[in-house]
Amino acid sequence: MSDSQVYRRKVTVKAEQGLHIRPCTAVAQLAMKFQSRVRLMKDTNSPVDAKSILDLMSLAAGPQSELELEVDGPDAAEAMEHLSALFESDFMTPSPAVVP
Amino acid sequence: MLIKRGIPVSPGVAIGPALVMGAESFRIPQRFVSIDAVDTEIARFRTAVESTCQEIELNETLAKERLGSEHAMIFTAHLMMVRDPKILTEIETLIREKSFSPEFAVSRVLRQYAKRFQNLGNHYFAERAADFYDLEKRLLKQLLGEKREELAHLTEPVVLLAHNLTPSETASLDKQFVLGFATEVGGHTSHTAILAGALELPAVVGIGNFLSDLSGGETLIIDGSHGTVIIDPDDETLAKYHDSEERYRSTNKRLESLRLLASETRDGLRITLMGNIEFPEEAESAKHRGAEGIGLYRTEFLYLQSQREPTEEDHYRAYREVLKAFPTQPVVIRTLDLGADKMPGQLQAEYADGINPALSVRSIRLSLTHLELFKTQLRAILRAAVHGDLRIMFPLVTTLLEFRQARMILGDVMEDLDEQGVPFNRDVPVGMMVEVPAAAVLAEEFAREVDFFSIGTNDLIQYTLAVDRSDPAVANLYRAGDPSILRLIRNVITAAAKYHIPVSVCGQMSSDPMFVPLLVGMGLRQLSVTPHAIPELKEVIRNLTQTKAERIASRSESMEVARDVESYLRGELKKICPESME
Repeated sequence: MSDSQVYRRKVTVKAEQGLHIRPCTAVAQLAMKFQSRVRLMKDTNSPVDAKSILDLMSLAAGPQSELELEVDGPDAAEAMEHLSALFESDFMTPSPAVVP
Repeated sequence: MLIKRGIPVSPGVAIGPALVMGAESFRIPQRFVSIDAVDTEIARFRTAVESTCQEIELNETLAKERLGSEHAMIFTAHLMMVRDPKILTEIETLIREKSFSPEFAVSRVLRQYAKRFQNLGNHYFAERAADFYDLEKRLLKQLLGEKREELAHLTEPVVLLAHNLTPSETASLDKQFVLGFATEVGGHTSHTAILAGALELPAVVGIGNFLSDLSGGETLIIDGSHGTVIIDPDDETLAKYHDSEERYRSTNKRLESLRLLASETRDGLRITLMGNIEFPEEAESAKHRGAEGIGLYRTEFLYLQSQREPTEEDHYRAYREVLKAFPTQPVVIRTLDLGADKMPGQLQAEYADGINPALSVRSIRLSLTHLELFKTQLRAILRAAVHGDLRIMFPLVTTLLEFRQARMILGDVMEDLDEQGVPFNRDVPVGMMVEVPAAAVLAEEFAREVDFFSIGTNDLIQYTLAVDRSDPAVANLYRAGDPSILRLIRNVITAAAKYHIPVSVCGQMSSDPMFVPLLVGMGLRQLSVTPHAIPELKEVIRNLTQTKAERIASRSESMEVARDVESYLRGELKKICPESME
């Protein structure tokens, strides 16, 4: 694996209701598209698997909470770009059909 | 030993091991499985997960189409939750390592998640607990649903216990292995109860909550004649019931031997016995019992089984199915006989408030005020009538004007069908129920216009004697033997004879063996009865002579009070059929 660097980035949950079931679905759906391991960490808790909707939900990340996104694997750079964009866009990116 | 009481809906005694079917509340039938069953149980769990996913995907697609993808998102989330490897592993581990049954494991794991979310302290997340309960329900439905299917693959006789049985579940019970059943809910007139009678399965319904006392496998006695269910009976009770089971069986055998014999009196007078049915599925069993046609097919079930009005095709399919059992014999279809208060959908709201439904918009009145509803049914009858001897019967006709109106609408429907080039039978006989005293009094006027009469004694008695039978305070006033009732029946028979139209009786009165000699003596040659009463009634008829019946009728008609009529008839029945069961 040439690209085995671990990427870390802080992301903010902008969604009004926090990392609610819909944002969780969006994150997990997107994360699953990549081979890399994608994890999210809140405060100092142990990181959770971003491909598991249950893990994401169990973060109970409220609005404006800061999370650390950690991506590790062959397509990590790309995954990091897309995932942080998703957080930036308030979870709208992957479903352009959704009218806000 | 534990005795539970419920409503007896189908007579007889059944003794056997209990099989508890999953309730609507998804009581877990079994918490553990044997170690060697673990692999099959895991496979069963995986199948359930797959089916659940398919079900959710279907919902997702539907929601997307109808509500937009935003609303479909919740199903996408549910789908991901069910497929989440974490949940699946946790559940499978419990099955594999702790021998939990899949049902128990599913419930355990999903409830833990639900609790965890409830305790997160953030109400947005706490609400998510509902999603886990929803998933639990979906999975259990799949798992227990499978259990319900096992009903079709029973290998040893059982006594079936359930919170409720749907009519279709009841209809599909395998009589070879299901000895009888008992349910927590249900009443006398529930469709399940009627079907149990049709299937001759001893049954007790409306027992109330009792399944939680049972785990399955206990010895159980169901006494469908008295409405008792005995759990873990002692030896003495068991012996007593084995005796009555035996007696019941031998009586039934005797009656069964009558099935193929003609329904005629000793002096050769033919009495046609037809069946009253409520579901198309009953037609076959009615025929098996010796029904020579269907004298009353109540079509209400078509309206009650779902929250929407039945389509023309729903009607048509049901009628065709009845005709399958009776391709050449008469099948009388009674058009909608419901009160507006019982109708599904918005009709209910139109009339519900505080009005006496028995005297309000019901039956033919409802049909005449809701023409689309009425025409849909008439179209289906006319179309199905191409395939057999279907007949139309209007219920609750009170005035001639009503009958003429109904007939005119039938004419309109025929015209429509004609124009559309849809094949139908133009010559369907059109009759009416005589169940309102007004119609019985004016029977002669009606007889000139209708093709046949069928006397509906249940309503006729209710309206004549002003008694609602379901009100215990006045139920004892409800008497089929009341002289006023006999007088009205006499009037209808005389009118029918004068104008040479057939007349039958389809109320419960004709299913009671004690009234059969009277009705035959009064001149009735056609009775439409509860199918399981046919063999017994045939036995009465075969022991009767026309002269004897006429003597009984004229004696009864000379009496002044119902009590005297009924006790006289009971005495006569004993003389005619000494072996007949009481």
